[in-house]
Amino acid sequence: MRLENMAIALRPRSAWEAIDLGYAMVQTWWLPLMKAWCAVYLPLALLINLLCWKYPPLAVMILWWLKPAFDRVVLHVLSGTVFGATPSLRETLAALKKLWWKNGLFAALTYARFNPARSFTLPVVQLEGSRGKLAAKRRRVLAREGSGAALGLTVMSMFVEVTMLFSIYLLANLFSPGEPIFNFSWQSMMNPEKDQAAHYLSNAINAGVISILEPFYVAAGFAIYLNCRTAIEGWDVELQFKRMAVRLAAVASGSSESSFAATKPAVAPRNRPRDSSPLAAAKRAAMLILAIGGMGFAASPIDRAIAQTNSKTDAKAEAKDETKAEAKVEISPPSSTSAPNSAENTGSANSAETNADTSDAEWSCKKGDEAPPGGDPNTKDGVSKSDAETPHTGAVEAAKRVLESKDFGEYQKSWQINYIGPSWDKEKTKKKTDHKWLMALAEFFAKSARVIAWIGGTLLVLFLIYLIARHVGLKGWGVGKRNDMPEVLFGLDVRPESLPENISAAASKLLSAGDVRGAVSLLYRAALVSLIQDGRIDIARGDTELELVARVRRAYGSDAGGEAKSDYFANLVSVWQRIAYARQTLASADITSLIEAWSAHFSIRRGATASPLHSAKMSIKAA
Amino acid sequence: MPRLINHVLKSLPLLDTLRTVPIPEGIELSLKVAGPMPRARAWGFDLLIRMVILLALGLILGALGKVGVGLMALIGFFLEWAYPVLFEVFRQGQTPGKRACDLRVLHEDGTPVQWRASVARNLIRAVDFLPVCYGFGLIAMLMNRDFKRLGDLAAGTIVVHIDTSRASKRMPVAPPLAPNAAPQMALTLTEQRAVIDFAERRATWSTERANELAAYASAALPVVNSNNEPVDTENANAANRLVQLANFLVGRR
Repeated sequence: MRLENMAIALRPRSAWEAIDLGYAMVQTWWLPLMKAWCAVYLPLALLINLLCWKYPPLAVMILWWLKPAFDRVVLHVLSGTVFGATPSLRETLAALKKLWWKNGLFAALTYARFNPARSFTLPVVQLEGSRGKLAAKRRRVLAREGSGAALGLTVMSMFVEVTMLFSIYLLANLFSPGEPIFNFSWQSMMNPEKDQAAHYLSNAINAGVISILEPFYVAAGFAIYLNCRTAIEGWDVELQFKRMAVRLAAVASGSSESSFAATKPAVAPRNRPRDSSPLAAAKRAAMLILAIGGMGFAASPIDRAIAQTNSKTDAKAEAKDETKAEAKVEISPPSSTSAPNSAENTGSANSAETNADTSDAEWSCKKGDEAPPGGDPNTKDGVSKSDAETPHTGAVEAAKRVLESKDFGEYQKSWQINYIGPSWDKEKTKKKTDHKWLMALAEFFAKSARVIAWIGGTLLVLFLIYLIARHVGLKGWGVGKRNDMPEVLFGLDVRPESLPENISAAASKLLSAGDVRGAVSLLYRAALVSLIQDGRIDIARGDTELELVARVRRAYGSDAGGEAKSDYFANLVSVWQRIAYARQTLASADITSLIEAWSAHFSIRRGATASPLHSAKMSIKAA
Repeated sequence: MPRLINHVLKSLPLLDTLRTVPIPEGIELSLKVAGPMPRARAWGFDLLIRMVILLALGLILGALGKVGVGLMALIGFFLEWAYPVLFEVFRQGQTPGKRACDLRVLHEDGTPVQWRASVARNLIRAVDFLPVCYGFGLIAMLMNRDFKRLGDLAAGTIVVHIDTSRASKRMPVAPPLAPNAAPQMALTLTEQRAVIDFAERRATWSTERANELAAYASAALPVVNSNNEPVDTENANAANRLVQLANFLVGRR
């Protein structure tokens, strides 16, 4: 197992995301998968259908039962592709014996056929070669991460398969004139001779649907498996660390330029978008190879990583090679020469949980570990034998024999005790009359319940409408029109009571005292109060000064003198902004002209003229 | 050498379910596209919720006779057509079922789904549903790289997984160790991320495995501590030093 060669991006995923990755695998590598699937599945399907020509539904059942055998082919191609070497069709067919013979297939087709996490546990058996107790242990370790999703996957894949099939049947029936093509009554299943053609057609559809969906199921289970191991063993971290080690080794011994070129592709691909063009990829590859070739020494770690194998002897031999290589490269910390190597050995043993007490050898297949359950007695034959032994002598004789048997023409005497004492009917009738008031009560309850339901339902509907309208923000709903006037705008107190009697005089007084800011603030505040009192503009809470100016223009612009009023207000606002926000000093003559013109455009109503609601509020406050 | 070329060529476009979306700030967002299985699961939860609501209302409205039947029909209609739209628009693209499965509907550009798109994708749900139980929708999803059903294709929406893993992780606290001073030994962003990942997930691995992993990173291990004194590289545990380095990287100095 060489993580460097993995064709999928390693990162921690949720189990459900891993299922999606499995689906993406089939989408990407559908061609080799389909080739291998069709080469194995279609001939066998044809053969079994021919063998069951008299009873086609049986062929469907057999093919369904044999699914684990075909799953192995899919997983073989898929695992090869994921780890960097897609097996060719020829190689796959050559591997069939290895896949099917002494590879846990017997268990998979008998007692493990209904394993609800079938595709998730298949890699444990097929790729790790674990059997029996060891496999169970491995499954338990992995199951902590992914068994829930694996179970869900199997159940849902089953549903998907059934719905796909029925989609097609229904579609065909919908578009067929006259009689429906597919008729899946129990009778039709029992006597398939009637519409033989429909059954063959249905079998073909079945084979097609399974061919499309089964690879997805296997790939999704495989992806959950890979995801579990990535999480448990930190594959993604291992891969990143190995790349880092290659880069740092190159940096430590090479010039910074070439090392940069060499390491860039090794570090970056994790984030690279998938649709990078092949040309660019080739360029990058060429760059990498040039850089590596140029440096010579940098190639060794990568080569080493590629040449790494699972078998123990190879690893040993390699350890020698590696120490040589290391000696050449002279990676600075001396501890690194031996550590990664031993790590790789145990890394291929592959279990965070169990690698402490097991070694490589233990992962290999243990023969005889999986004891098949006792062969089932040949009951079928027994039945047919007894059938054959019964004398077969025509219908009349059979009927006679039946009539002569014990069950026919037998007389039976029976006796029973009947109660003949006084009747209890009177009390029964009494009870019946009692029921009347109960019925009336029930009716009353029912009627009142109906009324309550009506009222409750109406209220519920109204409330829902109100909620929706409020959420959508329909005008006049929920938030409600504010009848009272705002008391604070832009952080300014805009209650009429807060203003002095004579605005202009007070402003001039402030100005002469040198408080320019105070004077303009007073003018602006008073103008706001006047506008609010007019009630011709709606001031929203979030309005800015300029929005306010625009509102004033819209509301007063068409009046006589309105133009002048809005111009004045715009001017006032801009002066206020310059003083309050920009902190500019303005000529006092400008301010004076503003003060003089104020009363020509605005006026404040006081006391009795204020709106009744507002004054009421104020009186409460005063109290 | 041809093997190496092959290896490099193959390893470059790594298969993943991420879609990158550039945003105006010049950053690329990675969206984790959700496929048919998680989405079917979310739909199943929603179906269950709607069934329970309908059943409960049916018990109450049954008392109203024909009016009750009429109301039921109306409510059933709204549950079918308005339920997904309202939830998607007002609950950040999540119906209760999607929320339970950590899924979310977004526009293709990663923005929250709005009325137009949500209404479109949920109206075309009817086409996806044909002939029985999302037959067309499934075929569309299997043929599409972003696992879009017909409604998603029409509305320009995408269903994504929400990242919930990162929040639950906690890095063990250890005295921080600064990375090696030599500038060419400075770790890239990806490498820093890997070191932090290691520290965050260390508790999920056995000690042996953690040490194995740390051994791969031995070249990057700090050789001096914060007081510029050399670390005892012979005896110091590599995994511990890596965790200390991660502590430095996340800013605990």
